Amino acid sequence: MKSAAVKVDRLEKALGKNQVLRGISLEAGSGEIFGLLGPNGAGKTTTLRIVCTLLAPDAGSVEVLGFDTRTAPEEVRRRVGVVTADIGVYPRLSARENIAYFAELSGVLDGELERRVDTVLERLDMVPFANQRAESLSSGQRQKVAIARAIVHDPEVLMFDEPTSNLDVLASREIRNFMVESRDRGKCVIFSTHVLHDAERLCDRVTILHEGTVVATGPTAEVRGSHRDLEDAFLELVEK
Amino acid sequence: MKTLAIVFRKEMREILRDRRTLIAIGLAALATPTVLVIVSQVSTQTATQTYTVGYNGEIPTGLDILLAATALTL
Repeated sequence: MKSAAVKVDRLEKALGKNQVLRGISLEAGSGEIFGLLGPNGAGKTTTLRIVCTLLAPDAGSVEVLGFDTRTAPEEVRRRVGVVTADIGVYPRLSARENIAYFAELSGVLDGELERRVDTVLERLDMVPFANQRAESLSSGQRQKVAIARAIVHDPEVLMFDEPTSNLDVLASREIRNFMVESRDRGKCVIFSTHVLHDAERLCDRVTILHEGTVVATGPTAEVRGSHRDLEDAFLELVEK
Repeated sequence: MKTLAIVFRKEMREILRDRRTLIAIGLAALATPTVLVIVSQVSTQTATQTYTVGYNGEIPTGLDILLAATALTL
């Protein structure tokens, strides 16, 4: 692993009476795709929410590029982009306006705003529908808007939480290609999914969560071990 | 302050593009003065109306003053 961009140390979190995280630790590096795997309810989304400062941990700490999420949340937010399965773009704004809105909120300066938005639109091949309202776009196109708004401020850490769960094969492939491209550009890409086949193809390293604890972590091939695929290894780990 | 302005601008843009919200605003703009005019006309009519009541017996002292004050005629 190259230098750690995201460090999670003994993280604990309860939501109501439910203890979601029970002291998990992990590190994700720049220039790698890091898989955060586990069944529904394992604590993947809660972990990502704490990393992007939406939730505060009960115990433990999270650092993003050296900034603690509790003491420097603004610095962390400036360095993180998040894409979730729940796309949540503003339906009555155009694709361009949605992206520009988030760029403004992320502190992109007025003079640079248009150039940044245009760059992202071209990079994600969105120019043909840039001025269409989001409500008239397909799911794949809306997911592209969600990605565009997550990367418009050029964050060093990109987090994808089940990004392909509502998408067709073509749109999913585009998202996967984008993750690989981001990794090659030196970004730290955290990919949370329960689709182990995707994780196996994409991730350099993985951490498997189960009921709020880490049950395996390491390079993907190492975690798979002698099993036929990651799914078999995963099943054995969670059934122990 | 800048963040507030950015959010406000976005919210206004969204509202002005929502047909249902625009219709609701238009209806409210039409209905409010209409209701006010009707209410004021009814209250004016009520205030200027003359009522006639019948009374049997000896008229007590001061009733004429009371009737004059309440626009009632005997």
